Amino acid sequence: MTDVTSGVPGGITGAELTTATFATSKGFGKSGYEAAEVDEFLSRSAAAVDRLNAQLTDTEQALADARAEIQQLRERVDRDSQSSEVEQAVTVLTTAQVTADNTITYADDYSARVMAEAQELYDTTRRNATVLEQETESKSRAVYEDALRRVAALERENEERVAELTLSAEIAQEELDGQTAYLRTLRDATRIQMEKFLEGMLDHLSEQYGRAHPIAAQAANSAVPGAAAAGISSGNNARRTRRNQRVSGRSVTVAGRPAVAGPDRRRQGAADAPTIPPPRSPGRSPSQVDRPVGTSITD
Amino acid sequence: MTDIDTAALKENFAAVAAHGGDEVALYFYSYLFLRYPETRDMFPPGMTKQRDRLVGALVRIVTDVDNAGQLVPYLEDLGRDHRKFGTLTAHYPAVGEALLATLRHFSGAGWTDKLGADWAAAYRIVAGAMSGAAEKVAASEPAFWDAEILDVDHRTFDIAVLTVRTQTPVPYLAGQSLAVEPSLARPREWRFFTPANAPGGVDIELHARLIPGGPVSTALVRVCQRGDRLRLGPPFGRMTLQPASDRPLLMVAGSTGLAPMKAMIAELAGTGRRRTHLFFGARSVREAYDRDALAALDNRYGWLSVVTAISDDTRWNGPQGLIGEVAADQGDWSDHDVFVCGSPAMVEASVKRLLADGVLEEQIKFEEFGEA
Repeated sequence: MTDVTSGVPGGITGAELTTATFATSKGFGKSGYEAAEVDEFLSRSAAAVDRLNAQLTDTEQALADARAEIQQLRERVDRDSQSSEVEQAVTVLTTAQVTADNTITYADDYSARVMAEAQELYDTTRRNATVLEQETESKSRAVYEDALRRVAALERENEERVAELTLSAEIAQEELDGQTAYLRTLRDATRIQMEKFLEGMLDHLSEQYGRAHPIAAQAANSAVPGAAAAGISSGNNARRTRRNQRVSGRSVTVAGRPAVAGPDRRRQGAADAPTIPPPRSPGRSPSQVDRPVGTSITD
Repeated sequence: MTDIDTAALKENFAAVAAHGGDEVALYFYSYLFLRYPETRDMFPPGMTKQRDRLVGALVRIVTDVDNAGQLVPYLEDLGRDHRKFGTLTAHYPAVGEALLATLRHFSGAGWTDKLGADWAAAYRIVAGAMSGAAEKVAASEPAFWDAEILDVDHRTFDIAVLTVRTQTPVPYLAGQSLAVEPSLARPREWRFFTPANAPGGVDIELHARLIPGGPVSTALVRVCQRGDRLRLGPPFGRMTLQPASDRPLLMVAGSTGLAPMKAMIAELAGTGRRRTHLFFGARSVREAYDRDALAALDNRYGWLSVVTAISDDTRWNGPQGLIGEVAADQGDWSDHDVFVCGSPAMVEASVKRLLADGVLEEQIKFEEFGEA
């Protein structure tokens, strides 16, 4: 309070109020303060209070004004970041970003759709290809197995045929061998029989006619040695051989006849002939007599 | 976060999120790009996925706000990962300002100075964890590696094996993944792919399967060609070999989930050899896209056996069926370390079956294909 009023011209201070002194009245029968001094002090105090009151009001107003101004300033500061311009700019930027986002999202969605379709197409194609592949595989396997079966059948058939052919060739060979053997036996047997017959004939002739015609008997004796060269097993003398040589041409004709007569003759011959046929080898005891016969048969 | 009224923050966030996550994120990014136009270049042209990601991250942070044990490693990973976008410590206050403006905008009359101060304090902690982790690795590791495509080998119309070369080796662990940005085809779009070879060299084998509408996978499988540029982010993922364990290994892979398994097999061949069973599953014979390589591995390593199962192709003479079932049917794996990688459905089914068969949860590590 003291400070507030101290600067006020003609003002009054608290200290003055507490320490104020007044002159004592000097009149007869009167005691107390001098009235004029007290009046003057009171009027000065009243004026000071009035001025203080007025000043207080002004100050309060100024303070309120200042507060309002501060509030205004503070609000402006706050608004600065949320001011209509900033708000507008944020809105514009946001709109631009959203537009850009939509465009990019659309492009990405499109890409996603295309790729998803491609993926589906790929999967479908893959599955179809798998099915086709399996079908093709099973078909080709069937064809292959069928071909294998056919090849196996053909092979079997061929083998059977080959076996058959081999068998018939063997039979034919056996037959030929048998016939050959028979013919040889027949030939040899016939030859022996013929020789015996001819020898008998010659002996008979020489006996019957040789005495009458000595030249004929001589000729018959000299023909015998040729028969030994023909490999005849029976004992021969020079005479018989010579005779045999003379009839060898006929002997061929006799031997050749059964060769074309067929198997009947062979069986028949087998009974007549020696049971063991001579070796088949064409190289056996070659002789001028039987070579043409042997050659014609074995070839 | 002792002085912060986290309950009030959660309540406020729920009220803000009620306006629609996308609306809130739209406002956030518009405010950020308006006030700090230089940040626009860190983001892809299309922001739809990005907004989902922001909301996802915010929800996770707010949910775990009282659980520092869960939250801090997540934030540190997030901070390290953000380096590849070109995020610097200086960008964090800008993001904080945009975040607060967004929260205040959607809070309306519910906004108080106390709420504002608490959000600001909470954001400082989050930003500190993120930028702190980022700064810690900044000295030792580039924010990203530029790579060139050496070869794109189309194994099917939607699966490609890419060989890419970096200038310096990327220090990943076998089984970890790298974020990949097709710099020209889809700038600022990053998705995770897993190297299929052991670390240490400059060549990296990536297996990419096209996800319809996936910007990065579409670019890698259908657009990119030999000579194109990629950016590779820092390695992530916890599906790696534990050198301390000497348990035999079971690996179950669906489609391109094979990549981490191949990397780990290559690693095992170089370091400790452990008895390893690899089960690889695909829908069709054609989609068994790496059969030659698997046959070669199977022949080369006596400690490795490879089984391929096909789920939807009758031409296949080997095991038929879903790979998780085939693997579980072929043995008792309860004493194995198990790795599972594939589509979300494949991973879920396989893990469920293995758990039911008595494999302990802590013995199973798995990764799913993300959207790519």
